[in-house]
Amino acid sequence: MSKITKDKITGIASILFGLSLLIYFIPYWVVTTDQLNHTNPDTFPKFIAVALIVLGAVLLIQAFMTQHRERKDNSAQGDVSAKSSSSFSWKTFVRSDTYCILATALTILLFDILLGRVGYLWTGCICSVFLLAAFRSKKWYHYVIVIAFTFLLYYIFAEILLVKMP
Amino acid sequence: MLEMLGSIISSLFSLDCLLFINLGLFAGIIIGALPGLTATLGVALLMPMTFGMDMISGIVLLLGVYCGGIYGGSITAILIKTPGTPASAATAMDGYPLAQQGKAGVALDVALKASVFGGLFSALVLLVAAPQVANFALTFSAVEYFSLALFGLTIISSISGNNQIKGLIAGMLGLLVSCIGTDPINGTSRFIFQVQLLSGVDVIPAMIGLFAITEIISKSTSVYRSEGEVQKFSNKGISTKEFWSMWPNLLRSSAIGTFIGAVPGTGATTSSFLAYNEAKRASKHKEMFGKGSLEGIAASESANNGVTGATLIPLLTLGIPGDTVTAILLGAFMMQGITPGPLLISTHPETIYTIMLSLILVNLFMLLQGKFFVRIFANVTKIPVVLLIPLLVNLCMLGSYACNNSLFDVKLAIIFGILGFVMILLDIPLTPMVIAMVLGDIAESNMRRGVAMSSGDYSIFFTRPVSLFFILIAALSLLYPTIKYFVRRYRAGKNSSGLEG
Repeated sequence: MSKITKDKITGIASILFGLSLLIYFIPYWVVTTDQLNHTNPDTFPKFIAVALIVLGAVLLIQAFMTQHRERKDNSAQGDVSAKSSSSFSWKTFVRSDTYCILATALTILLFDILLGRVGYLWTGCICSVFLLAAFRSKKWYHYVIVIAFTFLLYYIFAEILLVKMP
Repeated sequence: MLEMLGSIISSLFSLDCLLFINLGLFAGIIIGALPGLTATLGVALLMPMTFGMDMISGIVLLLGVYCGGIYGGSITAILIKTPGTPASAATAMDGYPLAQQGKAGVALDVALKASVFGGLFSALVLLVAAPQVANFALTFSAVEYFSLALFGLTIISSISGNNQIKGLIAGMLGLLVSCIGTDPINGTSRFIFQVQLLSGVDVIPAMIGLFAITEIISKSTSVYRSEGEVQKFSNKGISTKEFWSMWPNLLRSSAIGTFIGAVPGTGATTSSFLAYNEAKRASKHKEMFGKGSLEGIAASESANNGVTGATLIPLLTLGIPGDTVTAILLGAFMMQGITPGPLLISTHPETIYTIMLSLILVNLFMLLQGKFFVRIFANVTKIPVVLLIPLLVNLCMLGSYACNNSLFDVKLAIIFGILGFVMILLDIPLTPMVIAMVLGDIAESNMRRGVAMSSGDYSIFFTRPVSLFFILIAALSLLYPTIKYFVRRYRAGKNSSGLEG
């Protein structure tokens, strides 16, 4: 993603979020009272919403101006971009960044789902082993280490620090 | 006098006292290094142990946990970008890049030495000028607190680099998060989508999400790339000469930490960000900040440890606990039959001076214990990424749960983690959001209190000298880059016209 695209997305998201705060979230989710203290509970959130809209607009204008300038430069130099296409392959996918990110994110979500249901010890072991398997780790001692680490953390938090474990 | 000095030395250097200092430090460093567990929790956990001890042993144990806990947070901040305590968030900004460059040993060493320096500095101030500092700090009203927080928020502009607007957007998001919960003045609800949000968003799970989970997800992309690759690693610390070359930065940051610590209700997190900002402003190598600046680590760590002695100033001299840790310490004092306050120094001079001097001893032992821990913890950088990620997922999830024993906090950490990852994809800096989350609450509640105090007159922020001072330096720090730009242009114009002439 180019810097201009990122700036455009950020600008639009900031404006939309600011507007949604002003139109929906602040009126419905902030309970206001009569102005006993000269300021209301919605004073600060409203200021933030307006600031988000203004900052988003400035960022958007900046992005369009940069794009306009770059287009001018590119038309002078000639278009050199080329499109590439590739077919999907599972073997390549499992070694891709997207796969690694998805596997990690999925494990984190799984951790949250399991933690309240089966407790920390099972959750820790299942999620750690799942993630190692997803990364296709073939070293057996990696599995032993993550399981031992789960037990060690349980011991430190539950037995020494007396944290009430799920 | 000599008799008292002898008695103080004999109780400080007794085997019991030395043992409990070291036990407290050991526990504190471990607790501080574990994400989700703070120095406050450590002191609260160990306080029941002091019931049966004599007063000095009990207090030095708790002081050891407090100082160790604040320092311990820097270890994980540097090694895995997971600040053990919120006070170490600023340390992660430069410590982690250094660890990635294979200089974890240097970063940890600077953090340790700067922590000890800050701790000793504030202990000396406590010993020498406690009543004067306490009286000045007590002149602070809501107006001064607001301008201090506003000054702290100006750091957003300096750490956003080339992404000033994106940094400000992140700052606004942080301020919005700080608004969640019960309104601090009216007591009405704001954005309480879940009942667990009544008391607002806890900074610890939010920080674990923004810093740690985001980093875990980003790091996972290098699982295959780092296969078979040996991580660059050096256990070498910083030379004494190099460390002392940072003395102006260390002194300034420790003074900031001590001053902030003496003001009740501010704390180590605020001081570390303020000191970091000032260090960057004064540095000759501003471009290194955020990329692995030793000055940045030194500033953050000396400031947050500078708070440790200073928080005892209002406690011992006025009987006012400035934060949660000192509130627990107040409980420990009272349990031993001692009521801190203005009369303490005349009724129990021996006790008060023993406590003040023990803080110096605690910091000296922290240097020794820290050296040992640094050697062990620095090995974390040798762990292969494929193994490190499951370990970190485990630690972060459990850490976010443990800060309030709440499964909701785990969900919060995940939400902030996803938000942080999206922000990174869009090149939006994360740190401004954390700073705004920490300072937002102080800024808003005190601004509204200040306006209420003056019956709606906003000029109150400009008529009180301390407040005006903070507002002016906040404005100056925001406008400084622009002023510098125009001065340069003016000089360049003058030079070229001179050449033409």
